[in-house]
Amino acid sequence: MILQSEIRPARKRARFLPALAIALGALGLFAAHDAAAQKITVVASGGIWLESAKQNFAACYKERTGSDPDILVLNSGEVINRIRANKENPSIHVALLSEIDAIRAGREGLLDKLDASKAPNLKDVPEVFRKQWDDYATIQNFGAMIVMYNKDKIKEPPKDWKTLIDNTIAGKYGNRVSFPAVTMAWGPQFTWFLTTLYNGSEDEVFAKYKAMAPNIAKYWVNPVDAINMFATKEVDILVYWDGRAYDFAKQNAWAGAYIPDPGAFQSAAMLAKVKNAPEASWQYIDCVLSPKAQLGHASMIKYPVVNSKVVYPDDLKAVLTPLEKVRQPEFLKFMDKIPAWIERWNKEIQ
Amino acid sequence: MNRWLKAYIALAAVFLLLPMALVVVVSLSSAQFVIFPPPGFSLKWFARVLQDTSFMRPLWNSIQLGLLSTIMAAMLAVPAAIVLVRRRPPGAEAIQTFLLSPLALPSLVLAIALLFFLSSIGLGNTYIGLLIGHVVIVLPYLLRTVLAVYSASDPRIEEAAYTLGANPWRAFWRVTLPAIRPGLFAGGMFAFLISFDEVAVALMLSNASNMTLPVSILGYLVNNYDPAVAAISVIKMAIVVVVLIAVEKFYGLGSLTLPQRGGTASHG
Amino acid sequence: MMPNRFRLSTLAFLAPAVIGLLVFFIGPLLLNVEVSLREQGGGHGLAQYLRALGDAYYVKVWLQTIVLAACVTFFTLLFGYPFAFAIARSRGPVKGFLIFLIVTPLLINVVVRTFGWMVVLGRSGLINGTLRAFDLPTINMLGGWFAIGITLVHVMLPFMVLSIASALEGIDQALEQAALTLGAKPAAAFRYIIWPLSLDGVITGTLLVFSLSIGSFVTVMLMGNNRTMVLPVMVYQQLNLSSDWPFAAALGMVLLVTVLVISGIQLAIGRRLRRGQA
Repeated sequence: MILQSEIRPARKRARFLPALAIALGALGLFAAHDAAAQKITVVASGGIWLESAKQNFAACYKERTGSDPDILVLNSGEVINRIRANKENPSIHVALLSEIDAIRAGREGLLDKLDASKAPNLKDVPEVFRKQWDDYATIQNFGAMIVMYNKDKIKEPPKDWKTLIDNTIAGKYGNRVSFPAVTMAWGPQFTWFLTTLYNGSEDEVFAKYKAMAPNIAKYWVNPVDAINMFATKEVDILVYWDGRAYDFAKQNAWAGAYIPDPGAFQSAAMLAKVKNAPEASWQYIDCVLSPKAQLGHASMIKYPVVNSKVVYPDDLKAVLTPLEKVRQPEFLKFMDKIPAWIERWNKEIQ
Repeated sequence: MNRWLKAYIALAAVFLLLPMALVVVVSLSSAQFVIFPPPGFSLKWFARVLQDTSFMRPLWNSIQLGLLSTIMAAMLAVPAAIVLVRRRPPGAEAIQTFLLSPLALPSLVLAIALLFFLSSIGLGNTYIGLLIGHVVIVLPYLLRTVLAVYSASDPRIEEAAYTLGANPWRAFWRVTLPAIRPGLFAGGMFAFLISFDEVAVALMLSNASNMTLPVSILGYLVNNYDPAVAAISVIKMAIVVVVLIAVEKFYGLGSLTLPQRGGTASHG
Repeated sequence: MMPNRFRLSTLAFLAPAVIGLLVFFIGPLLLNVEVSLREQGGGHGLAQYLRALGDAYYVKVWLQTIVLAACVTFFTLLFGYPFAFAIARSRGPVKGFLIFLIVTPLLINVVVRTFGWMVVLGRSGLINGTLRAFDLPTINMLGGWFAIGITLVHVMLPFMVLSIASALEGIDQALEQAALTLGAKPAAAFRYIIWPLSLDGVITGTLLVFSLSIGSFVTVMLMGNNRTMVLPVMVYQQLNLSSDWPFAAALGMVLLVTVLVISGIQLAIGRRLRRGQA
């Protein structure tokens, strides 16, 4: 009996192999499918941002080249790693990166310098939007971090950042306040911005973070979680993105949003051409930066754009944070400190 | 079941269904934001999601990928389980542990390593690459459940089939497969559901034409929080519920769990 | 014992799975090991590991990670066992319904599910809303181990329950009946008959749940705060914020080894318990 059971199954193998062969053949078909797609691949953020990329940027690209780009919805971290992994034959052609990842990618030689002879609309993008990136990337649109508050609970919102921080430390708002964490994607920028308010001293900023902690409902990491806390009135004061803050305030009479003095820091989405990407990528970049597409984008996402020829209608202008109110972070000065900041944040803020 | 057990099951049911019920309620909200309880009800989010190709295409991709990776993993797991249980080759336990080891590596770490590894052999961001990633992830679940069920079945039935002159292929279809089918179903269900909700590997390995639903939901959630995400979740839930009802109808969910007595079963 | 043919066919059956994993799991894993050994100057060494294991803070986080996974596993077992028992003892549509019930947590996307729990546990959520309606003091349950634990136990239950249920089904009910008829108290019947025979399922369930919960990061990130730091969240930070792949790779290896060692211990305990009964 033992012999039987041990010898017989050997013959089954012969029947399994054809099945395996068929499966491998099917895989081959998929490979062929992948290879057939020779389109350019670009990146957008999700939801309304994706809609805007389709309606404004991709539409313009199709008009010019007759084909649609493939649009991926990814975060900066995934984009830079995908480019690093496929340097010779990148799977992403026009990248959308965070400011710091854009600097890293430029330094690592993953990007081509932006070239006005290939994307003429670049001429109308002021230098300030490209300089810190050494022309390896340009800002596509920018926003700022401002303050949202519950009008029913907070009668007199603090005029400036320092008062907000001191009042929070003093427990004036209970523990119904939420600030971004240093470990939020733009947290290091926010930390840099706070250092500019406290004589450039990061020790002082971390001391403030620490002193605020007992009266902070949550240092938020996820933007959806943050707006949800505010929408469910779990917190009365929230430090949040401007465009979405104004939009929320417009829809909910009890909510207010404003820029505390002395303004806010600029946070941006960076557009870049990946090295070894097809030439057609320049057409897409030129499209993104064209006045028409830029205005269309700004009116959909409610964030300012960078082409100086864009003229905003008044109602749109009212909800856009003006350039004079934002300060561009000095990335080169603090980007190498980020790992240390994150470690310090994890260890000190308990 | 006695009274206490019934009361406990009722409590557990509330616990299990609570988040799901909330998602259903929110998906029917008329508000722009996720506010609970909703100020009013409407079907607009379903209408919006059903028209949105950036949800519906990934939904289809996810179903496809889930099925394919489950089938592939089953084709790898079943023969392996058969010899591991019936022949106990030298080092069987070590081989089992090895085949189950992908469970132990955090998916984030596996994802980035796979991205660079597959890219270096020309499979980065291709359909095969994504499929391979998911097969690696779901294989342990399938293997474990098949091992468990198969090692509990009686080897003498197969021997009898051979003695009575059945050819091996026939014996496999008529005897072995029915014996492992409950394990295949339970493992296949785990495998499919895990692939269906897997995000770390898909974030790194997918491309525009095979992007999965969890990736598109995550991308949407980074910048938007409205009941659309709840609506797509309900649609996804509905699909799985329909599949489960079909399984119940044709096979009986009850037989998804089966005797499991053998010692090898748990050496995962 | 058998001639070549036996070994050949054994190999042929095992080969696809073993070779597949050797290439597509061990391959990336070796790459990960290489990356984790990279040092800043460009050479290779143990710097990343020394950084992770030589710092009291990281060791604390590592221990927290293990304790969280262990607690989740324990409570999943505690709450899952009776449910598994109910599945094993029911028949027909009731059984189908119970199995459907237990897999429902797996039907919702992890992020959406977590937001669902936030609505339940939040300051103005379901539970606190109910408390307030009865003029009872409210409790802040979000942002801590409790919220993380409850969310993880919820989604881990299916793995535990189905593993145990399939083991319990195998127990001959006549055995239990006999014990009860012969005057054994139900507790004794459980202790000496049901529990020992369900051990296989318990071991399977705890292994799956432990390795799944030790690697979870989305739930911990959304439900926790800085105090509730665990290794997978650090891996996420290193990859996405610090862009420090070598350190992330080293932390990943620490987790892998931890899970393998603890799984080994679990298996050894299981084997001893089983032998103890035989």
